[in-house]
Amino acid sequence: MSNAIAVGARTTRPASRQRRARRRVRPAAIVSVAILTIGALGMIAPFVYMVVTALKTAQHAYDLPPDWYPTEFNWNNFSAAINGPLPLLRNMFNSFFIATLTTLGMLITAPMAGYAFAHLKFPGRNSLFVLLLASLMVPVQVTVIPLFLIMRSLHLINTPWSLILPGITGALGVFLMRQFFLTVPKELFESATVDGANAWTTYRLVALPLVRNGLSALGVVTFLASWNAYFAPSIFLNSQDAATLPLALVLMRGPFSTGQLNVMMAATTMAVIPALIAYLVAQRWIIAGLTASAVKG
Amino acid sequence: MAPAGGRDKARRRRREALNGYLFVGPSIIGFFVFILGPLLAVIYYSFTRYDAISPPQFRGLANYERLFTDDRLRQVYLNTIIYVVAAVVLINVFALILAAVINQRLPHGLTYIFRSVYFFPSLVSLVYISLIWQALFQRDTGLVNYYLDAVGGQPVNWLSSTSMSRWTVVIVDTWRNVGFAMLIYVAALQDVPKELEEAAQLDGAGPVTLFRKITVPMISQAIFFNVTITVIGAFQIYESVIVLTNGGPGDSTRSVVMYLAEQAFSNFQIGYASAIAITLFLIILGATLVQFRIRRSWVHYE
Amino acid sequence: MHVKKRLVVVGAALATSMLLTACGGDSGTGATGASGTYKAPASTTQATLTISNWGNPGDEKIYNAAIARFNQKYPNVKVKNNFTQVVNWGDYINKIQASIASGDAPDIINMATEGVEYGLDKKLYQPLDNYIKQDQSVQALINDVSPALLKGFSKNGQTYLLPNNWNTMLVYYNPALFEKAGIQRPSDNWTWQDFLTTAKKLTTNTGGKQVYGFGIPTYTFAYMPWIYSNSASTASDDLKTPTLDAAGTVEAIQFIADLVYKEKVAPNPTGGDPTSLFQAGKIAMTAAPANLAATLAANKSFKYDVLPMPSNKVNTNVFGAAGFAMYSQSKNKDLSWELLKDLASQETQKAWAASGTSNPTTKTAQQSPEFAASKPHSELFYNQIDHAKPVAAPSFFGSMDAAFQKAMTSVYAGTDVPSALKKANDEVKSTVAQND
Repeated sequence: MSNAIAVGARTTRPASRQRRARRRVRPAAIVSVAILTIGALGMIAPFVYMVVTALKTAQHAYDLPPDWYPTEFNWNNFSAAINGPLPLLRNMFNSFFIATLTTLGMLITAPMAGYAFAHLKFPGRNSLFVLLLASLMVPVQVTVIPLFLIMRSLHLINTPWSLILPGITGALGVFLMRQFFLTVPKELFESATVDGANAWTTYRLVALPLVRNGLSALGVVTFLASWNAYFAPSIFLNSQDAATLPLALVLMRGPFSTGQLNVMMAATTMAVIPALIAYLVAQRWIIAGLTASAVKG
Repeated sequence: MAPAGGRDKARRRRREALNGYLFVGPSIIGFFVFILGPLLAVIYYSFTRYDAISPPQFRGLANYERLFTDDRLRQVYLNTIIYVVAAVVLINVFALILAAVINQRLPHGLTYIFRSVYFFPSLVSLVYISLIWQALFQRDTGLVNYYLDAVGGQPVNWLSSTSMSRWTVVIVDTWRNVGFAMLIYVAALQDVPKELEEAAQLDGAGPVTLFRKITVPMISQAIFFNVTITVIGAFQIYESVIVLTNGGPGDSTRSVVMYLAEQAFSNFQIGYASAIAITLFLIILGATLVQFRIRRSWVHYE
Repeated sequence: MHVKKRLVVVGAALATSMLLTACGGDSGTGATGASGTYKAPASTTQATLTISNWGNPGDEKIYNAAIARFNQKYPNVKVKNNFTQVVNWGDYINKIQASIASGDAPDIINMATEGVEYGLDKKLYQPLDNYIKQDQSVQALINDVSPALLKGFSKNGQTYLLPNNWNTMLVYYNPALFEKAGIQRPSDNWTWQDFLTTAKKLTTNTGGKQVYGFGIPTYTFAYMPWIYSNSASTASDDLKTPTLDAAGTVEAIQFIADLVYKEKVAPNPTGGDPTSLFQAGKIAMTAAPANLAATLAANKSFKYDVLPMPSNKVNTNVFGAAGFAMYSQSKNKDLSWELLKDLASQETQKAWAASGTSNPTTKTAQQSPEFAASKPHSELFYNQIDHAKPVAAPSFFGSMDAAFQKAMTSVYAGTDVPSALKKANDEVKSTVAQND
């Protein structure tokens, strides 16, 4: 159970790296690199197209053959996107606000529950855990109708809270944190308890610091999931001031708005860049977080 | 054991239990309010006629009877099942191939770069990815057909063909998610002991036998995980279709979730939409149980 | 026992939310003008008014200016302008229904022809006659508006909306591409046949350099001139039944489909955007309301001109008019009336004339120099009203729009026009029956 987390958290293995270095370059490796390179170009090309088109004038947005490097630098597209039909900066802020609060909430609730399920004994622990895990089989699409009605009666439609409240708890986070806590030997906490610290202090001062990697992973994964979400926001938010960034971009394209390709691509570029930065900064935790959930329950 | 110590222990156990409940409390409350409560409510609504304004009226099985006569529902389920099967097969096959190729003792830097490049799209919202691909897939003004034409091919109706557009959705879905599945497989493959493979090679096992007899069992857990994730993900396909084709031509790319949302929040037939939600729930439940059954008999435990 | 416990928790959660719904009603600020003698609310009145609003990019500025004028008179009234883009009319109508369903009903609704019948059907609008009767400035304003536009705002002798703006369809063309193809500007009374000949001449080159004669806009309003000029419609005259599969309608849509498949003078429009293709010089003509002129005004280096839509059996164009209604259940009717007057005033009309994402409704504003300066051949934008019919909008417009749009995607996928439209028509009929 625990070693898959190690797999995820670990990016290299010194021993095998050494073994690799000793080998000569084999023909198979050249073929591999060739295949991977072609595939990689296919993965990058759409993003290159996006950036190049984002810098074009309306007159050249549809030029064929396309340019694969920027030939003109029409930065106006970015200001046109921001000042355009939708309050894009506000939409970006909405996305950021929702994702941040959801993540903070999740970082409070999930480790607590994960810790309890891993290291505290209480009647019904296993059945509660199984119950919680079962909720992974209930996607939001199934429950969206009552959720909408609940949010409506709480007057939370068109507010970020309609997305934050259901987002701050979640079985996946609990599951993930439980896995991380299980890798920590129980004796570490027990000695603290014997020392007379109460459960909350033990948890806060001893347990939490031990799973710092897990918290980073959970944080990054929760943030990205919220940042990218479309379905629930599209149901709960229906004014353009309340819209999140993905909703705004879909609206921007509508037949009654300007929807110009170059401006659209400028907006899309602005939307993709945070993900790119997050990836470059936090790649280790993202990969750890995602692969850690690949553990058997 | 002294009775005093026993009482002390009992007290400690009680305190630990209390702490346990307090610690899991927020998550459990969230579960009741936002998962279980709504699930029970959706079951209730599925037996009613409800337009979200006047109070729901009990209608027995009427909504469930309508499920069986609704041609559009049959169409959207067909589409969704195609999405699920195609996504599971394509994503996992490509991801396994990529992982196996990346796992060929390449220079470390290259492995890192390739892994990053393939994985990055999985982090980008499907909305943005679909917006880009929609521009690329235009019938008469898009890049893809331009290059097809340049190499002598016929232009393809990527977005506007009842037979093709479904596959366009699958292509975009596969393109985005293959990197994530690959990442899991790479992690799993790195865990296969090299000694085991080398021993088998010494015994004269070819690469195919090696893969089938050694590698697949060793990474069965990762396969199980990836399949589960792709199945659940593909059942929820929504925004890519909204952006790429908006469900068209006709209903040929519409997913169950889109149809559910249309019935609930455009037509305000909450009762019928709830019945559709129940079918979706039962199918996901069924698919997951089947997978667990298979896993029990197949997945290799270390 | 576990189950019981769970139910208790769930029940508690639901009960809490029910309780929360029950409280928090406010008594409102008066509705003297709804039936009796109108007494304007005191300028110190405190309240919040909500507008369900829609529009094109840039429209928000115009509305905010009107709201600012209102706030000079009523500084303590907070106006929530719920402004949204309209992706399609069905969606906008749904949003209003959703906001009413979610207990967040607006006081003022900006509604276009497409949704007027729907709103009447759902009794959304407060009759305004008693207010108008007591206000000479509004009477003067109304007298300045074409009777054709006003007709859509009243029913059975009751007036429900104050005019806001309106739109029609025109052909936009790229004069540079006309010149390149050696074509003169066609006459204002050109026919479908002339249009097709022109489009063919404008379709040049192949591969990456291909230019198409026409780019098809795909929203429902844009198909209406073709259908109307073929003496057909999408709904019966009494707006009771859909007629998507009527012979004349099918014929008009067939003409459009042929532009793609048979004549090859238009790119397949699925998912494409004629507005940006037009500016990129990939299409020589497209059709659009005034909002395209506003978009093109921002692209100074691009030259364009406009023509009326071509005619076939008759010379009938389409129009859609937007007006402001008061929500019939509003708790602040008198205040809403004051805000309505600012939203529909001559000042607002002048702003429409200048920015031009839609046409102003008053003759004063239409004939103003600002309007003439904002676009080429500005007279074509408003004289269409002389031979235009309102877009056919039955109370089931939302589902009709959806079914028609769906059918059009099938048509562009190669489904034959009669069967695609027949299927759509049947679908509308069955949805209408389900909702009864």
